[in-house]
Amino acid sequence: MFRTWTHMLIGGILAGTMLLAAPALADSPTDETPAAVAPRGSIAQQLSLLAKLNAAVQGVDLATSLNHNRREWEQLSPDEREQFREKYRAWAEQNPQQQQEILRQFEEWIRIAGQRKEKYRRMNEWLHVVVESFTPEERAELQKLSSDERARRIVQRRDALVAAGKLALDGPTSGPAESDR
Amino acid sequence: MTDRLEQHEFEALSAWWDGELPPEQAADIERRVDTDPRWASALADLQATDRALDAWTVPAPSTDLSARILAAAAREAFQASPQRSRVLRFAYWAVPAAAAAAVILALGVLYNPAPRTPGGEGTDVVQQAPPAPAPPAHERTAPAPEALVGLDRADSAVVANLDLFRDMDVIENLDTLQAIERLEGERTQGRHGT
Repeated sequence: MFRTWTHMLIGGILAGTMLLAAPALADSPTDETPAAVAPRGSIAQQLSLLAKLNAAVQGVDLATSLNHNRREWEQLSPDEREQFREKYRAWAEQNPQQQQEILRQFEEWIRIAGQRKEKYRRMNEWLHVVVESFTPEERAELQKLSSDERARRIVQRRDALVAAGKLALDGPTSGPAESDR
Repeated sequence: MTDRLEQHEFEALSAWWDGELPPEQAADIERRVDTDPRWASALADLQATDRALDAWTVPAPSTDLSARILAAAAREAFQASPQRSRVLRFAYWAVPAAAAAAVILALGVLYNPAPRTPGGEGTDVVQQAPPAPAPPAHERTAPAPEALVGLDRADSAVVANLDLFRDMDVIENLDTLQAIERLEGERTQGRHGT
């Protein structure tokens, strides 16, 4: 009997304390205050800024840039749209560090002049072929190298593929140097 | 006067949008957004892009999951503890009391007037569940960007950054491509130098 009364007494004291504290808890700051707004995903925030930067570099505002993109999107075939979606999904599955790295390179890409972008697109075509010629282990090794060392090995392999007639290059700027031929 | 924000102004707006500014600065930015069309327009742009790019946000691990993992770890440690029996005796008293307190606390919260939001809207606490971080009040009235109307989240993200996705393959290799370009430039220079 004593145990039961003691039990109820302790319960009552605790409950009373909580009751007194309830209004204070209810008045405490909530997530509604601006300062408590959860930080936006840094990736999303950076993309937002890059979209603006991209528009600004093209000399237009964001709305104009988005409208232009939408028109272009509407003109794509279903297959082409699906390819874009595939790229989006691949992106979304990357970890934040990888996404961050691509954003860094995208920012640089935005600032590159159109003619040079075209050159890089052409180079990227043979780069794919060259990289495919490496074994998976060699590709993993390449990833660990500095970009300069990676470039040296890739150019070496590219020249070997060209010499063996396995790769044709379409322009002098993307071809091997004469001294290496 | 240009109709666009200067870079430092845009950075301040962005920081405010992220809730990173102290109250005085935040109030100053809020006043500008309310009174200056340039600021309002820049905010609308920021909101439009954010909305389109929401899909890019990497979801944080579930707090429920974290709590469950921590609780499981604590339970495992506790099972082996010599204090277990003493704690169980304490729990005999504390658990019913805590349950009673929880009921009273819930009643207290339910009948307490709700705090006002920054946007001036009094809201019932019950209606706030599950709690979601609220952006500045202006977002609630910002129109959806016309260019993204009718698109789902993935398509919106693609359209908002079409240039990124179009050249994603090249962009991913940009460092390597630039290094190759440098290397070949050096070779060309060496060739001309000899």
